[in-house]
Amino acid sequence: MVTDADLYRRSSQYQKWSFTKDQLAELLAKPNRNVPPHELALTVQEEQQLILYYAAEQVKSVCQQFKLPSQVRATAISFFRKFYMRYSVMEYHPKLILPTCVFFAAKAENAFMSITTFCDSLAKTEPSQILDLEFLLFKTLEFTATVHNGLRPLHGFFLDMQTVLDTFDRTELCSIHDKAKSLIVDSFVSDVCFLYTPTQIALAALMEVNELAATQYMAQSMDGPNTSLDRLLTLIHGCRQQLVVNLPSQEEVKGISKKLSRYYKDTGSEGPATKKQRTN
Amino acid sequence: MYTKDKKVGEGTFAIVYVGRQAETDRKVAVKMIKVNEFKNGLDMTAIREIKFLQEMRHPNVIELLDVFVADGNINLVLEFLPSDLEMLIRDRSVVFSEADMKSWLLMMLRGVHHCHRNFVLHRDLKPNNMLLAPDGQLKIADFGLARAMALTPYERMTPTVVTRWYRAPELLMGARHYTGAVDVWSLGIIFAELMLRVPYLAGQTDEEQLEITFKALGTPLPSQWKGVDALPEYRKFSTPRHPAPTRQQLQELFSAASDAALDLMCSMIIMDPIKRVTTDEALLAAYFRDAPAPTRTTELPKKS
Ligand SMILES: Nc1ncnc2c1ncn2[C@@H]1O[C@H](COP(=O)(O)OP(=O)(O)O)[C@@H](O)[C@H]1O
Repeated sequence: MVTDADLYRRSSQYQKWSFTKDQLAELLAKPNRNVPPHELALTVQEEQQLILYYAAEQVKSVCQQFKLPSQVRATAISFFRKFYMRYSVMEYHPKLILPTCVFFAAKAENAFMSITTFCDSLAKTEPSQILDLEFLLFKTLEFTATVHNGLRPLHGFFLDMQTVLDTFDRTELCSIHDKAKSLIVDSFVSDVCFLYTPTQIALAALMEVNELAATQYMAQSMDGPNTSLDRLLTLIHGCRQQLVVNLPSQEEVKGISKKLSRYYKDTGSEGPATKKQRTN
Repeated sequence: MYTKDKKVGEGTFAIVYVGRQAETDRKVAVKMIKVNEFKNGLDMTAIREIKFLQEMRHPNVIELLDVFVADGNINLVLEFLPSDLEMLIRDRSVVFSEADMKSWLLMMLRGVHHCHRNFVLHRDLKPNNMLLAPDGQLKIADFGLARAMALTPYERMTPTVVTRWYRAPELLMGARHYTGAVDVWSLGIIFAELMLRVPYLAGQTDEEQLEITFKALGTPLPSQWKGVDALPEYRKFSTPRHPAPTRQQLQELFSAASDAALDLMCSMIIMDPIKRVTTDEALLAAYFRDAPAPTRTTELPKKS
């Protein structure tokens, strides 16, 4: 029997984009270290803060502007974070990588919009800038565009909970589901998608929204001779702790952005992300 | 890296070349996506195809070996598969035994089953997308129309998918939500075509396709298919009402088919998508347990 877990282990997300904690920390710091030393260079910390801010706030605002489904937002954030595992914000400015990720995620998730429609509504973004970066993005993703998220398992749990949990009525469960859903989409900003499976993330989100319902549900449907509920609960607890990230304050972001602009000016780059595209 | 030696085919979105991988001298197919919509960047069809082939690794799904860009064109490097099921069906000098057809259907079902358990709909199954390797393995190709299954029934999907002759009735009637049942329908029609050696339901237009489908298999009634009358195009085609064929009529048309073969085919082309078999169920059909056993892939008929 091939289980869902077996299938997940064959996915590109598991094979190429899942790491241990240490591997991930190493990967996240690497692009920054590859940039030649410079007095205005961002530190690893600063770079991480800026990436988090863009991944959370900016992706959300662009997706809202185009009324894109939450699936597209989740995928766009995932693409964005993966891009900056390979390149530093000092090599490619997030101002352009971000819309490129949203544009490409919309395509990958079947929500295509034309590049002119897209750019007309975004300030200071030319179609050619995005189209030039699109291939680099896809290549950096190692041509993997499938992003599994916790929404599918969450939906399964939601249907299941309606029969298993008689202490909660449907309205309550609906509200738990909806809150967990937005938590899962937001969680792409955090590291959990690189460390845990979509199923674990869905459970962690349920746990965060309503601990009682989640614990009861897990006790009733996931305890058995071949599974250790305690071990699972420990795992889910670990995931839950990392689910929600603390975003930097507006001031901090402003400071880092300024520093980055000065870095670009000082190193002679004409502007954000004008680095010649390496296609082959 | 790769050479493009000779053009071997051209589809709507791509030109396919036979080539070689320089380091290994392995023969490969290089599928160059046409730049028709390049003003919008990378082509959607190419993105879909790459996206799904990356995930669908299976003996009965074509293998994507690499992706590269040259002169602004995106190229997919695929295993080279010199023939397809359509060529064989049209080749009158090749005789199919029941065991041969069983073997092909089994491979098609396994490949589609793998897609469905990964929540992927192919949406363009037809004989010329069933490519055949030199060792007889059948490989499903062309994921340019594929998409992930909808998470909920509220997600709107486009009904204009699947090549007309293989298009399920719910699509012909304009359903905005559908499932893996559309792929099962296509396989059922391909199965029929293997037995008949001509396309089973060959409409010249979309409207005619629905008419032919109802004529051949009976006009579905809301009492048999709950909600069919809510589909956009149902009204127009609900009269005249064609009766469903009797078992005897089907036996006459598919004269060489065993009972188990006919049972399986009929279950794959049930009008109501909810009642249609799933790939899991089809793989457990009596047809595959009954003698004759499916022909070994290496012994399957080849293009003459
Ligand atoms: N992997 C392959 N190996 C050999 N020939 C292929 C391969 N893929 C496609 N072809 C050939 O190229 C033609 C066009 O391919 P494609 O664009 O995928 O098909 P479609 O006609 O469905 O758009 C096919 O009909 C086939 O003859």
